[in-house]
Amino acid sequence: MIQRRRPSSGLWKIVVWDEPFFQGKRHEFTTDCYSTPERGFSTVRSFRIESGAWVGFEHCGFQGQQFVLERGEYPCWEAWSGSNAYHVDRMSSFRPITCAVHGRSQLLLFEQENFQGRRGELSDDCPSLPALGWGGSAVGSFLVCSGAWVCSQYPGYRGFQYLLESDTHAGEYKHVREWGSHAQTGQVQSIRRVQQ
Amino acid sequence: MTEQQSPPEQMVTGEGAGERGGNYKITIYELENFQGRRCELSEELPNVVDKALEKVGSIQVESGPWLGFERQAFAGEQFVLEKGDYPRWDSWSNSHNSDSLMSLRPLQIDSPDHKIHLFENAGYTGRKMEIVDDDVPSLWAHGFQDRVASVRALNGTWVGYEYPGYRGRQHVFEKGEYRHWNEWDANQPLMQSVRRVRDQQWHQRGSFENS
Repeated sequence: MIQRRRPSSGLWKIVVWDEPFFQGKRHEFTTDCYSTPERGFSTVRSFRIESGAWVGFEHCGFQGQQFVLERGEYPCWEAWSGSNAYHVDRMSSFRPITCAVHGRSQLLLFEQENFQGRRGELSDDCPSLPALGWGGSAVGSFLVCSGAWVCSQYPGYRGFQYLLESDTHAGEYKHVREWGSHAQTGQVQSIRRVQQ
Repeated sequence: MTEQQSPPEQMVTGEGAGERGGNYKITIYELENFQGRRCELSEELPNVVDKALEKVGSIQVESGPWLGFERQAFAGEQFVLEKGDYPRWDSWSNSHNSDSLMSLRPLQIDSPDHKIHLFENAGYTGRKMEIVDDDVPSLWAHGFQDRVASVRALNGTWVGYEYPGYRGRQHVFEKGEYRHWNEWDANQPLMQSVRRVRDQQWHQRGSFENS
C-alpha cells in the first residue's frame, strides 16, 4: 500500500457529468467543490458517489436546497431531489459529510426553538415522526449528539431536506434559520441517519 | 373487562385489511393543501372515482400505514403513506411521469422484527444480503451495487427504492417471496436503498419517549 500524504483523501470520491445518465463532460472530486462553474461545469446533471457521504447544493457556495448523497448512482435529477414542486435539476456545489457514523448516531429534537418544550431522542431512523409518537408535524430545534442526520418536510423522506451535522456549530440547530438558506418553516415529518 | 360478543357474520373475512388490533384512517382531498371535496376511509378503495372524487390532490393519514397506487384496482406505481400530512402529489410520489393516485389500501404490518433477504439474481440466486432491524440508504455501502432481482421478506414490511436515499420508484415488500422483479411490478431489477415501514400503533419499538 502506498502511504498517501493526505490520509483522508481516499474516503470521499464523487464522479460528476454535465449531462444526465453519465454522459458528457466527466470529472472526479475528492474534496469540496464551492462552485461547479469555476471548475468548468455550468451544472452537474448526473453523478456517482464512489465513497463517503456527500451533500449537494442547488446554488454555488453551499446555498439553496440541500441533497444528501450516499454511495450509488444518480442518473437524473429525480434520483437526488425529494421535491418536484420546486424543481431543481442541477447541483452547483457539493462537499463531503465528515461526521456520519450510521450505527452510533444520536439526536435530540425539541418542540420549540432554543431547545425548549417537549423533547424527543432518536438513535434510529424515523420515516414518520407522527407514526412513532412525536405529537405534531413540526420541530423547533435540534441538538446533534453524534453522527449526521437528514430531516425532511414530509413522511418517507420527501420534500425539502435539511442536513444536521454533529461537527457543524457544535451540533446545535436552535432555530429554523440555522437549518439552511432554503428553510422557511419548521415542518419536519421524517428524520434519518446519514450512512457513511 | 367484558369482551363484547360479536356475531360470526360480522367477522372480517380476510381481505387483508390488517384487522389485528390497529386502526386505519385516511382522508383524501380532491385539491392540494387539504381543500375541495374530501372523503374519509378506513378500508381499501379500488377506485377514488367511486367516492365522487375526480382525483386525489392531498392526503392526511391519521392512522396507517397505507399504500396508494397510481391506477385504479391497486395497479401501477406504489406510494407508501405513513402517518402524516401530504399536501401535494409530489410529497408522496417521486415520479415526474404521474401525479395520479387512483386507489389505496391499508398496508399490513407483520411483526416488530424485520428481516429481509435480497438477491442479485432471480430465483434467490447470486449474491445475497441479509438486513435485520435496520434501514439501508445505500446498498452499495454493504457490498451490493444497484441490482436486486429477487427478494424474501421474512419478517416485517419493507419498501425498496430505485435510487440511494429512498428516491425514485417505490416497491413494497410485505412478508412473502418475490422470485422475480416482475412480481414487484418493476420493469428492471434496479434497487439501491431499502427501509422498514414502522408505526407505533402496531409495535412500540423505536417510538419516542417524550420528556
